[in-house]
Amino acid sequence: MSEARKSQPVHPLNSPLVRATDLSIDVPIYRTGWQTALNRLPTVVVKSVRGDLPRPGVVSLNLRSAKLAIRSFCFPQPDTVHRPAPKLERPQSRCGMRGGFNSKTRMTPPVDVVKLEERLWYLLQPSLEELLADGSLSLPFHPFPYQFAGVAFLFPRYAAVLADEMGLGKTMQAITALRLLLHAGQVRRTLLICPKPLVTNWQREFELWAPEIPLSVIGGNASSRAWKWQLPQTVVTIANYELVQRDQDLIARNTDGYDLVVLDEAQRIKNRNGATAEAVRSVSRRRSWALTGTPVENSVEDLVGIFEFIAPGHLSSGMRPSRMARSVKDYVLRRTKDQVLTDLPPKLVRDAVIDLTVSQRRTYRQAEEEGTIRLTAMGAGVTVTHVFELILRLKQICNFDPVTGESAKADRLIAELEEITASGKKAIIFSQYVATIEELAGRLSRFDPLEYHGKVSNQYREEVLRQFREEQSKRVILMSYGAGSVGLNLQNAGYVFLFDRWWNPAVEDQAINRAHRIGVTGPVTVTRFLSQSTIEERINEILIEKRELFDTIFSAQGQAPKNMGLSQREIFGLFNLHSPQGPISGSA
Amino acid sequence: MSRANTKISNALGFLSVVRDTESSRIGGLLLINASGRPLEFHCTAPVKPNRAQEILYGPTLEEYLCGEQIGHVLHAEIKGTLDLLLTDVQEMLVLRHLIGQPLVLIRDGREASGEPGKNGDDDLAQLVRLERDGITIATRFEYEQDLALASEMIDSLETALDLREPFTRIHEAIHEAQGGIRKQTAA
Repeated sequence: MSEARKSQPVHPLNSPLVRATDLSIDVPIYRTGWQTALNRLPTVVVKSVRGDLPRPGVVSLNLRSAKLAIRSFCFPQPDTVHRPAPKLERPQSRCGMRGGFNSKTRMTPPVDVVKLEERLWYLLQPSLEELLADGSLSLPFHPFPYQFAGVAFLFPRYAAVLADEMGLGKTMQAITALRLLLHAGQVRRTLLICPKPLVTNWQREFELWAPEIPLSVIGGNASSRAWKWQLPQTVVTIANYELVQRDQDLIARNTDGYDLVVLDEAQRIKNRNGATAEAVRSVSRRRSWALTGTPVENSVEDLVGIFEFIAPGHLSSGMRPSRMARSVKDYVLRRTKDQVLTDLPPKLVRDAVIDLTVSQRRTYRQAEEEGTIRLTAMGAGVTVTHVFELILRLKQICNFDPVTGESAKADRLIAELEEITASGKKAIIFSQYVATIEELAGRLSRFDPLEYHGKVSNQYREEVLRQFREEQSKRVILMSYGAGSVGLNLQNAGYVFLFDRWWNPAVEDQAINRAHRIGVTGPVTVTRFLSQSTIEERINEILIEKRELFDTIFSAQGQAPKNMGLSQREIFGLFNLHSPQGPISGSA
Repeated sequence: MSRANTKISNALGFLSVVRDTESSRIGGLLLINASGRPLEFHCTAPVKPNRAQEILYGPTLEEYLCGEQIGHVLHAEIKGTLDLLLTDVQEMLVLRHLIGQPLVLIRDGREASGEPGKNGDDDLAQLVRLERDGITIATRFEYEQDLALASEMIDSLETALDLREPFTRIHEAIHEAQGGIRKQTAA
């Protein structure tokens, strides 16, 4: 309180009088027992605390993954392989250049390729359209999508049967697949085996689709052939079946063998025990392709024969057709025109039922009765050959009466040809017999027909075909099934006549498809002559059964008709004869 | 860079990733020549992130797995010369930080332009890109020069390659390889 007073400001003038009064009051402290604590000094207790706290537990999470496992594949490049130099300049307008194809057709490895690296090599190839867009691989025409699919089927396969219906372009597909394999360095040497009449056709097709591939055609005398067989640099060698059989020993001397052997019309080796089949199978090769429009001609055994070439042991004799269908699934590609060529002009097939002339009928009945009596009289000594002889005779009577020369078929044919030629169209007439063709040539002389059969020399055959294709005045060609049913392109014919019926529907189809194939510009009318109430009607019933057999093997269901083969019993049954049962081959 | 100065051996690498299962990825790299023919193919075993990676990498997990793990390892396996690397997986672009070659993303043009129901511009907003022949080529901004290089290399090819198509091959090959490996393992 006194301190407060001292700090008061001093006012010298007129300052009020301030009196300080000591207000402090003494408060005596009486020591009592409990108050002594007030005078006691406090006790200070010091506690020590450690500054380093205990280390916290740490959980480490490994965010780095373990080293990744990698599988690597390096593929060989074709640069180290012979690449044939182009022989011809190709026009730039051809398809296959940039933007030429819109669809993409990829290859898939077949099941029999088991090595992963090889499977991936096929799988990693670009689409065929892109491969063929390479300038050096351009094509003269834009292939159909199914043809790309066919090439993609062949390319990766070591064993393949391309069994497209005739006229779908098996030749082009095989050449293109071969060409791609050559460019990829997968094959160096190829042997193409085909029927003799088709050698020039293959040369023509190679020139069209792969002009850069050098060809060597086996021919000439023995020493010339020996030299050609041993040529080491030949890329593609073309030989016919007969020469392969004849030169079997020469081929065997070639120790390197072939990377690829292609069989055209592979039904030629359907007989496994035949010399041709054995010769073809003896050729050393890595890849085996078979091309055929008729993989089953007579029986499923035909297919077994073909498989003995492409994949020996894969099929066996006596296999049930349904099982066979499953076994061949990855090896066989079969398409029909109905499936893939929806834009192809239609094929109109009609059966022209012919009533024999009176004299023909008389001659026919007489021959049938006499023949049947003779066969019956032979008893157990009768053979299939005897039956065939009778069939042959009866069929020829159906064509021409040997006594009077009358022919209801020829009369009908002439009437049809009048109309056809008047409209500027062309026609092909098929017969089984050269004698019939020669007889018809005389009857049809007003149409100036061409002839193409076994009696026409090889040198002249090409000229015959050229005339039919190119000359307007040549509107009719007479062909034998044997010479003219395979490999020929005669799309300029709008009409096909089957003057008599072949024993095998596949051969008939081949004949028809000379005209009804890619490139045909209009509908093809097929007329099958059928003499009423004759052996031809009975044979026609057998042909229908054979078609069922074919459909069984190459249909998805694979359900076989029980009665599919043509047995001796059925042959003899044509004349109500009895014989030992068993399979039969041959043609009437 | 002018074309005359560009030394191109025309080896293109295509890098892709497929999902084996929901969380498992398999990478594949296809090296092709100018004609589109395969030169090399490399594929990884299935890559499955663990739970910690899923949590801690968060939204960057795909970039880590695709670019740093799968892409980097596959790239290291290339035996030949690589000129250009293309991918159809956007997250793979992070690999560009780790390699010396240009790396671009390939997208279908309609997809990239944002048609209804497709991944639109938003998806590629962080990228620099160009359109050519119906496809979009894109890369990261910091590697913008890759676009010009890629475009020049593609133009220099003699064959018109569909740049989207090789990815289909990779996917099929991965499935084939995985099937083959499984068969071998089972045997």
